Amino acid sequence: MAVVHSAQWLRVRRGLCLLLTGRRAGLCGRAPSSRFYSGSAAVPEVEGAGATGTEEVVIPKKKTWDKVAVLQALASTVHRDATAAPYAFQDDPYLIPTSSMESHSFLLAKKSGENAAKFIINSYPKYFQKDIAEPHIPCFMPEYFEPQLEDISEAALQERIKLRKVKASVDMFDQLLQAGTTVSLETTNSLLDLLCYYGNQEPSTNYNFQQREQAEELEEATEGSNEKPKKKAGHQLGVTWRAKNNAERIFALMPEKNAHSYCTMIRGMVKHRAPMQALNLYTELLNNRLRADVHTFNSLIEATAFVANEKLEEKWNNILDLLKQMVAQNVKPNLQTFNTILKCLRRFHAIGKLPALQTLREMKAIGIEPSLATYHYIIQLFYQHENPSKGSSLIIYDIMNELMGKKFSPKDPDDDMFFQSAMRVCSSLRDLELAYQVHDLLNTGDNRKFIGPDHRRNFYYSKFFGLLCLMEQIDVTLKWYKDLIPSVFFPHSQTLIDLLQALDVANRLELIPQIWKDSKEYGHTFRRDLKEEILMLMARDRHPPELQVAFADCAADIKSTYESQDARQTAPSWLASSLNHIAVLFLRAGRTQEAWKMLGLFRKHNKIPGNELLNEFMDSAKASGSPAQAIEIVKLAGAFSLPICESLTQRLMADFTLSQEQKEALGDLTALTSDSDSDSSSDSDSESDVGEGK
Amino acid sequence: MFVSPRCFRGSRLSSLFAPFPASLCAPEAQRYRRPPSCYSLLRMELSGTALQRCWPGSVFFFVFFNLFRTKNNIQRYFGTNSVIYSKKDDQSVPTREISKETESQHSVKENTKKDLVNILKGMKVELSAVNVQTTKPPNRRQLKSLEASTVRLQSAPEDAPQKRSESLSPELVAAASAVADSLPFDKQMTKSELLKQLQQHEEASRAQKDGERPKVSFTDIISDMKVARSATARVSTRPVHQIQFDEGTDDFAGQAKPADLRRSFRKNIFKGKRLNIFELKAVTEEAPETEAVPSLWDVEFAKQLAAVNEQPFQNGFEEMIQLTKEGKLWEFPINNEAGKS
Repeated sequence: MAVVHSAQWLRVRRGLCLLLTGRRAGLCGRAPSSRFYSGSAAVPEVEGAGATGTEEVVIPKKKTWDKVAVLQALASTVHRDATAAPYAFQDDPYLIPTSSMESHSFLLAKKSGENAAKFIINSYPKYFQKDIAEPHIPCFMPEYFEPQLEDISEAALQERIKLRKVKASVDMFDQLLQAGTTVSLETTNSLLDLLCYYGNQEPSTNYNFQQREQAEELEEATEGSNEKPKKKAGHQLGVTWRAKNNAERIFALMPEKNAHSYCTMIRGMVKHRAPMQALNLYTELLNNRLRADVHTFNSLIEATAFVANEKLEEKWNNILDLLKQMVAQNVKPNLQTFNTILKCLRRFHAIGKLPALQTLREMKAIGIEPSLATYHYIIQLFYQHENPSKGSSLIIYDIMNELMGKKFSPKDPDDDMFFQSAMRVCSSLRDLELAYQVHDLLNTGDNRKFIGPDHRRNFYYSKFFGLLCLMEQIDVTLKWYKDLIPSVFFPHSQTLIDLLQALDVANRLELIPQIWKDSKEYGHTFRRDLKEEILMLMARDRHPPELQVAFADCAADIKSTYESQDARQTAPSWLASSLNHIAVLFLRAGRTQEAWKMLGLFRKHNKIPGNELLNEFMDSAKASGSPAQAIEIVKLAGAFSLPICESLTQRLMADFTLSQEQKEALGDLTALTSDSDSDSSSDSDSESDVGEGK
Repeated sequence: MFVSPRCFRGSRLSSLFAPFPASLCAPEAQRYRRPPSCYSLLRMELSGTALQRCWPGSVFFFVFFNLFRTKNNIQRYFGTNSVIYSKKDDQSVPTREISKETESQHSVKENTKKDLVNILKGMKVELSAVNVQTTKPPNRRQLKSLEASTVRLQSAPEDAPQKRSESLSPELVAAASAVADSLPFDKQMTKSELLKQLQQHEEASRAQKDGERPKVSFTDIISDMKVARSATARVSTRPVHQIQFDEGTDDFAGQAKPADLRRSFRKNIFKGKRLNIFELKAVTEEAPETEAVPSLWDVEFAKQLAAVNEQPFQNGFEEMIQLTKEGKLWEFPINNEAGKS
């Protein structure tokens, strides 16, 4: 230590000397500033060299590693590859999904394959007895879901409860009761747990993947329409608490009940939407001089909010009463207590804001760290309207300031909702900086795991990317585009339209053919609005010839998608504007033949070509010096009885030298514009086409 | 002592604030046995002139000595070698730059300097005037430039009335010439400028007296000034040290975005009224674990929690972690005796 000290002292002295000399030199005016700065610059350098010597490294004698520590360290070195599909999709290149639909079904298929295998093994355990692994691997062996104990005893009942056989357990309990055996309080309580948790229904084992999806959709639905969440949720969940069900019957039969019996009943009732019964049972519990536990209070808070036909203020007061009773009964609140309150306050709309803030402060004050779900509820409460013009709150900034740089661990089942709702707010506030903050938070530590399931991730990134398209410079946006798509998410067609608009604003239309290629890959080949947007942007202005060629290729490609779509479905899918755009694009690229074919399509689909298109055709006819084409155009215009027919005829007269026959034909045309059926063979051809099509 | 450089401006009188440098000399300066005034500089401007005086060592006397009658002001400025003052005044035109660390400063007799100090001191007290109004502190740029290590001096063309120094006391004249001597450039001109300034100063003070304004003692002015972080700053021996302005006033320049402003002025959501139902003690104290066996509810809740951050594997190692946890892979570090017990 002494050595270190002296070394430090020396170092300080040296730094000081340098400083002093530097200063003196400066004072003397020889090198007024540079010397001084060089002196001061030397100090940290010297200090840096010394600091490593003073740092103490304690080398442990032995370090016990977790069994996955090495793997975790290795995993942390692998970063996302923006050029590759997500790892989860990589087991078969042929199957790598290219659209969100495909990726969704890919994941579902994978999961359901696992479930099916498990189901078979567990259904026919006798065929899967060979233990091939050495040492033994338990999870490869079939699990036994059939009760092994056949006799009527409490042990058999316990086994059935453990296997979550609701009906078998109830039967066993009844048989025990009939036989006159008294079932112990613990066993009865665990039976009640089972009945209350599953609401007297047989649990659907192993199919929980689908079930989860359903529950999420339900949650989304309640989020989307806040007006009638209760009714919807009630009938969608399916399982409701019925009076005089097995749980209530057994509960009534119990000779002695402890707090746990009451608590589990209350929780079951709240879980299965019977708030009034739950509150009544709580009064009964109090009358029996028992105390509820914190989970029960959490359920009761939820029940209070569910009770129908009560004013919001009353509900809030009831919740406060419950909290006071918790204090009186010396029950410690937990994170779920406050999260439940905030979750319920979401339904209070504007009235809920102040109580929500007070609740949050209460949490902080008593040292319960809010989880992501807590902030999610608050954001939902404060940003219920998408429309920011209604005076949006700034609370998200406080929340983000609080959360920046933090890492989270799961504490609440709703923790994975936060990022989605935060990004939604960023998007509605049009605050790109905030969006970057949220995204940074998502990429802090392992926080990205909280982004939630597939659809929530898509929502988050769609919002994020939409905001980028709207606010960010086009180069940065394109960088994000390369980075995020498709390795993180597959874009919606709306996302691509946003990107196209951003390209339009930044005058980078030359990228459109590439975007169209991507759109096809991501499964938007038949999105009409997307195709319309692309065609409109390409056809709107004139571009340099090379670009026009590329655009025409792209237009031809889009046209072919329409045609293949026609083959699939009979409904007319062409819009007049798309036909116009494609024809214009062909014309500008010099693909006159195809452009003329487009005119045939107009007839076929009974669409009317636009004036500009006809003028462009006239231009191209003039450029190629072909009066026959020009006459053809006038005929077409005449066939549709377009007002532009007059001016086209005049142009035809002025710009072209016509032969006698042509003049006659033209005269006929102008004379009887209405009846143009028999004017030319090509006309009759296309007419017959239409006739066939119809 | 750090004095925030507020300008005190009177409508028709001069104002000043200046701490007394000699008594506040930092120990470091004394260590070098240099009188505090030895590197002093004097320069002046007419019509928007600044008279600046710099003290070496780590004593940062930041003195604004504003004389305000017409548009003239004298700013007296005590600082270290590292302190620069540049006045952003429309009327001041920088004409030359000098470095004050010159050899010539050593040759100035200490007596004269002390005299000068005393004189100036006396003058200030005499002139310490009334009707003190606070105005905005100098802007940020000024603050930044204070950190540079050279002194840039500015001078304005002479356009003030050409009065001679008949009204000035001989001591002042002597002091002015001594100061002018200490400077490396045109001594005569410096002296005349200095005297001119002093004269105006004198006139200003006389005008005040005539105006029968109530006198404000120097201590009053001092007490009006804001002193920022004096305790720590005084003991500091670092040669380069920023003059500390009172915080809060100079923060605004950086806040360009209205969103930032809104954010900074908003109350923190975590500060304010709370429910006041629970007490901290009740929650933090550890209650004995009553339930030994987790109930079905607990098990299912744990499962739900585990599902919250369940994501598809990001890479092969994550998959291996999962397989290890399921017991399908050999654990690491490899134990050849695994399963043999």
